[in-house]
Amino acid sequence: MPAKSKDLLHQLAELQSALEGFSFEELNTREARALKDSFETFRQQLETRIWNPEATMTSTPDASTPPTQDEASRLIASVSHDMRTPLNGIINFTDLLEESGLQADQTQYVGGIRTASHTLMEMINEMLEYAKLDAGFDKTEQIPFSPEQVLQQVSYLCRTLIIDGEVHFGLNIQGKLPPILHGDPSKLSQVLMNLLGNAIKFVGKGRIDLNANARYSGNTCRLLLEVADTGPGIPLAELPAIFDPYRQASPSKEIRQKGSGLGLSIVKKIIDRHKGQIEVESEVGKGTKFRIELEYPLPQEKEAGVTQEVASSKPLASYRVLVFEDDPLNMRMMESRLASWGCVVFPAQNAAYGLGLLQKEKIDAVLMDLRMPDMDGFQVSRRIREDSRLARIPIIAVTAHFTGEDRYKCKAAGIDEVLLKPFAAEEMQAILLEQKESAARLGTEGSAGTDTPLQTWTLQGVWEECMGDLDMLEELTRLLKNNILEFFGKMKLHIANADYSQIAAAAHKLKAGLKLIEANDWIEAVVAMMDRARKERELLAIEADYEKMRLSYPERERQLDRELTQIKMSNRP
Amino acid sequence: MNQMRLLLAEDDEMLASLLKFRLEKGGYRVDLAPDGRQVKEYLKTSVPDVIISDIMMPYFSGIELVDYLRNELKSPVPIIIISTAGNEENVLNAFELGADDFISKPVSPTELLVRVGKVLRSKQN
Repeated sequence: MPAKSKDLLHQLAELQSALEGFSFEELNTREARALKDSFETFRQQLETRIWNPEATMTSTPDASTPPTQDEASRLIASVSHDMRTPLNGIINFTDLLEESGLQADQTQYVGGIRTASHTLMEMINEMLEYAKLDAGFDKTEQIPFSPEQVLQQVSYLCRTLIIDGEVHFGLNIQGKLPPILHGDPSKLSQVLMNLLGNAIKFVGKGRIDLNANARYSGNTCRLLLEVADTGPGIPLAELPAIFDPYRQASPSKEIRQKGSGLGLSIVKKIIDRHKGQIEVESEVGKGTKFRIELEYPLPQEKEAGVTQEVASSKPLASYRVLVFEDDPLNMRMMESRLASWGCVVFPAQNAAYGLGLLQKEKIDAVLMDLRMPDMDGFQVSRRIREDSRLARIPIIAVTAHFTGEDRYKCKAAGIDEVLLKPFAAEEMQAILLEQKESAARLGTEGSAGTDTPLQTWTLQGVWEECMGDLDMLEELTRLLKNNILEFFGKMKLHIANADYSQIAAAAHKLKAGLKLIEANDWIEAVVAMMDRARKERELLAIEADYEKMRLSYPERERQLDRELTQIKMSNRP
Repeated sequence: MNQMRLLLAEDDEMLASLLKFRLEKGGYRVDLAPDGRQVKEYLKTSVPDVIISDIMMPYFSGIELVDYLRNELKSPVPIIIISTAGNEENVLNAFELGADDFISKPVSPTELLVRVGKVLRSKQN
């Protein structure tokens, strides 16, 4: 195994020693035990995987041949992915511990565990990312995008990440950026976020600037981007190796502690793929500047109607779009555009019909005319969001009149994007692609969005049945969480085997527990799963529901833990 | 007086723990069986005062249990069936085979205590 794994083990050892120190304290609660248990499981899994990787591979053609670079990367990708679950458990329990009214020194130990776990999580995520790039899992898209929009989004994220008032961030666009470029906007933002993320970590006080410029030549455009900070800087001796993935004989302690392990090598890898360049300039005590150059083809001269090149790649092929539009002429225009990109179009000239379609058909995205006769687009969107299964479906408003108030109303109604009429075909395509990508990201990365409010579950009913017995409540909550995890495990297997009767049984088994905590959204989902499983069809819909549950679960679990803690706090003898 | 013994057959651990907890608070001794097979094993060696069984269980359903108890073991032990709403037909089936009472999910522990008490009283009379 590469040196990275050893580093991981090292982190783990630190985590363990923090944990040991902790357990010597007086605090001998169930939480401490649970934390230790989940840690132990994690450690065992990790060790098995690192020392005995064959055991985890489902099909090893010949155990005696050493794995190729590609296989190794795949293995790391899948292992890193699996490690996140138990590690999440550690982090959750740690948060819970921290909230449970500790003494000062205990708080300090718990803080240590938390920092170490987060560092570990960051490393695992980076390793996953790197391995994916290495194994070529990561596809680079070729789509039209607005570079300025990417810069704005990245800046917005960056501002939300800077919590310290003494750090100032500025986005400076010099010259004129092209309105549309062809390439992969998500890779561009990944590169920038990585560099800016590092800057945010290291700058305690001062400035971070993102400077952008463009240079044109023929039908290409070079984006010149610069991330400059006034942080501690990097010593000259370390600069040459800064993009090296395995620079383990590593630099200063400070840099190690902040966990900037693979981040820069990921950046380098992406830039290399794009045949771009990256340079770094740094002076200790003054700051660091990263300069990037990336070349993109400019879009061809616009042809009448739909552009040919867009039609040729068809990244939106078989994307299923529901269109709410009452004007027949507009509808026809939308239909022909969408169809030319290979989308499957579901036209709805009134709200009721469209809402019905959403129940019957699998829809990937909704285009919504805001002004319709029977029910306006805001109302329709709210109705869509009321259905928990549709909580994440992208809704894009299409309108000619848009006021500041409308923006607020859109947000409140759960509308994701707004397309202002009249719009160019590329704009619509770019927005749809963005939604498609972010849905795909959510699907694979498991980073559940937090903007859609989750329907609340509650332990109140269970607590009342416990007649004041806190241990009982805790035990029941633990059992519930176990049931849910068991459900996830079993479902994954049964879905893979298309075993409908087992799917129905697993879904049924979860129901009683869900009723106790009034988890109505999930009850709906498991009932739907049972219905589908009994009819032995729509495995994909079952899988989609399962994925949604799995993605939303970490947040739900945190909510449950929080509520449990609150009940405990206010009912301590 | 001897403590009454209940056998609770329920595959959902959370619900089983909650019901056991409340029944024990109510003064009963409670034995748990997570599936039909273990119920059968249990009945080979012990006779509880009341059996409370989920209708949907792995290996051996609540209905089969009633049938087994009444028609094979010829045992008069009172049985309370826990059923899911919308499963009325099965409940009728269970009654025909000799179940004494039923309670539907979501189970209220308080209601279950009342029903256990009632079943025990009517048996004593």
